[in-house]
Amino acid sequence: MFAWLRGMTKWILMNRNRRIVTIIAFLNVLLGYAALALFHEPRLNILMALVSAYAVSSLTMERYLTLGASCIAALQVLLFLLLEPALMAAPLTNAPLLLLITAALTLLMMSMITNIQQQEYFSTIESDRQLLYKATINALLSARGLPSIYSTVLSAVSELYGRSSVLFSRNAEGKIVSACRMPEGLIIYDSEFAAAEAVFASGEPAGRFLVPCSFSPFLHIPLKSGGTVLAVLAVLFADGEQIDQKMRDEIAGVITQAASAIERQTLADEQQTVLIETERERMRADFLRAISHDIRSPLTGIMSACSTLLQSRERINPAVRENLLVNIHEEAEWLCHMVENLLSVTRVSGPMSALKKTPEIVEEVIGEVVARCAKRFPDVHLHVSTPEEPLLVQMDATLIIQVLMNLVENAVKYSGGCDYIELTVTTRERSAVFTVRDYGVGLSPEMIDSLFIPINRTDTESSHGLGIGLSICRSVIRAHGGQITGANSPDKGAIFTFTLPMEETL
Amino acid sequence: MKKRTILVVEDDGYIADVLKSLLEANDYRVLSATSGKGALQLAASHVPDVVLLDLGLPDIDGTHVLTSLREWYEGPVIIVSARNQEKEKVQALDMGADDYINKPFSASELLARIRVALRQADKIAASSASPEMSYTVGDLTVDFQNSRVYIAREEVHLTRLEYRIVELLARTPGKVLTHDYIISSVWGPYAPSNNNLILRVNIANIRRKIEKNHNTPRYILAEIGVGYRMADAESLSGPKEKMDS
Repeated sequence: MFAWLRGMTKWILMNRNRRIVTIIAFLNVLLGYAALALFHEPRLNILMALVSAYAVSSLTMERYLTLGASCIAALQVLLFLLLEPALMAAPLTNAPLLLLITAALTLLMMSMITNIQQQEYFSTIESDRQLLYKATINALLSARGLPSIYSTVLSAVSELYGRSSVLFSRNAEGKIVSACRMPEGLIIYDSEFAAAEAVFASGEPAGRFLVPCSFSPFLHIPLKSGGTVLAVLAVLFADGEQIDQKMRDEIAGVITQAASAIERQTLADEQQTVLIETERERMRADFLRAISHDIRSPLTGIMSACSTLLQSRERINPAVRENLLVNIHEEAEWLCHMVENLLSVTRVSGPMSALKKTPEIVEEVIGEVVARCAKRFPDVHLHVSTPEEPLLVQMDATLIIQVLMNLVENAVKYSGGCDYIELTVTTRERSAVFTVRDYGVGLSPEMIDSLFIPINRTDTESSHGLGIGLSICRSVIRAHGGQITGANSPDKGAIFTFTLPMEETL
Repeated sequence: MKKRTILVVEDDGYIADVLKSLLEANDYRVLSATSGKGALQLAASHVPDVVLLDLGLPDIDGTHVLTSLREWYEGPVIIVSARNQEKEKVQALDMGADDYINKPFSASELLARIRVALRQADKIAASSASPEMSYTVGDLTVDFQNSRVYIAREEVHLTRLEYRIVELLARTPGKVLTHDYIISSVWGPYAPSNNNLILRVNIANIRRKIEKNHNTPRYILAEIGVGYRMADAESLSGPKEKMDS
């Protein structure tokens, strides 16, 4: 009883509202007593007590107003039914007793109701926590990608326990790195990396509350799968803080889920890599097949011409011999360009792209193309136009020259005897637009569909290298962050256009 | 006239043979070396008029051959190199090579380069006594004495920097000058050498003043990724005929 009273007093004194209410209630009671003494009217006193009880209940039990009100109504009935006759008999002597009973009952009600309230409050917290915990687990189940898993774990620790935490993982070289930290700006000393490394090595938790690495303010917990430690979660505790069993269990739950999520992700990544690798392997095989086919035909030509020359020597007509030599030269030249194209492909699409982008003046690049065309196709007229102002574009010049040469070469070869080709450079929305246009026969509909695909060429016999040349152009342009398209001009001939992104540097 | 001597440094026996027969057919005396050490020995004993140097050699790096050669040899050195290796070429040019030619090359191109190099060397030997007054190619005349540039006898107004670039190039027609070399010569040693934009923009402006069409320059020719060269009489006549036809 005494302990209960002390608890009640403490509970009342804890809150400013409660204190006020209690004082008002006491004042009320005193006022009632005074009224009784002055007017000899006990009912007034009872009324006062009831009003104060209402006030108390309505202020302290915001959420349980109805409950409190009904309790007090019951009390009222009780008072009137049981006490009134006695009060009427000797109102003055009974008044203090009555007041006492009223006060005690009110307090009892209050304490009962607050108890319920407190329990409710804690269970709300508990259920919120449960919800959060479940949400975390669900988030971990559906998280894709290691960074998202990491940040889910850390935000769960932060929201569930209000703690800062860090996730350590190993990078490709096996070095310990902090993959993710919450909050972002959390400062981590080198000793934490050492502690994390120890956990990686032992597979056992360490740090705060534990013997190994007890210097650390972080509790380091390993995320394990099988025998291997996938990552280490370090949770920061302030000085003097304790950890209870419940929290331990919950953190363990989160950790288990996180570990399995990370494991799942790693497996999925590996599978993805295997898939990509197979696809790449397949493409490589296709590419090799196409190239071998393309290389074989000029080589056959060269070899047969050479063997003819060697076999027949002087018996051969000088004009024919000249012709054979010119053919050999042309085929060899074509092979040489082909090999250069292939070298470019290895530069663009190797494991690490060796694209050497430097700012280039477009007209210099175009000038080089013009000079090379004049050498290779002396009979073709290449009409060039570039913007009046010098245009600066980031590019790997040798590769872009090669793309332009490929496009011009295609225009010469496949236009069906057109000897007028236009090469135009314009700017459009922060891109440089290069256009190569011929006035020949144009592209057939089935060609347009498979222009940039290295295989599936429609004309396998008559002409070589269109597909590979264009697919190389596409990889070069894509590696530059541009786009290439081929289409027929509405009036005549084919138009190839590619764009290169421009930066505003001039 | 005495036959000119060419030292061919090339480790690929087949190409060396082809080069030898080509050059001998064109009235040159040919010395062949297949290694860097052999090349240095041959150069020291014969003092060739031109050295044709392939940078990929079996024993010592081609650039080392070039530096050892340049310690005493003043004649022209032409680098033979694969395309796409601009860095290597620039390095060789900065180390004292006079010109370069891309593999695979055509016979006529190689012979033209050799002629340019020989002419250049002769001119240096002749003009060491009396410096040149002007350079004329096609319609372009650069008057070194009065610092003026004329196109078809009409003066072209260039800025000071532009004129210095033109003069620098015109002093050694036919020879490739690397971006860095031009920048350090014109802007001085403290110019930002890693940024050659300023040079390119100047060249673009010069072209708009002296060339008929800035897309098909005739006088100042760009070697992409390497540098610039001033056209000489021979290289000018080549493409010009084609343009006219």
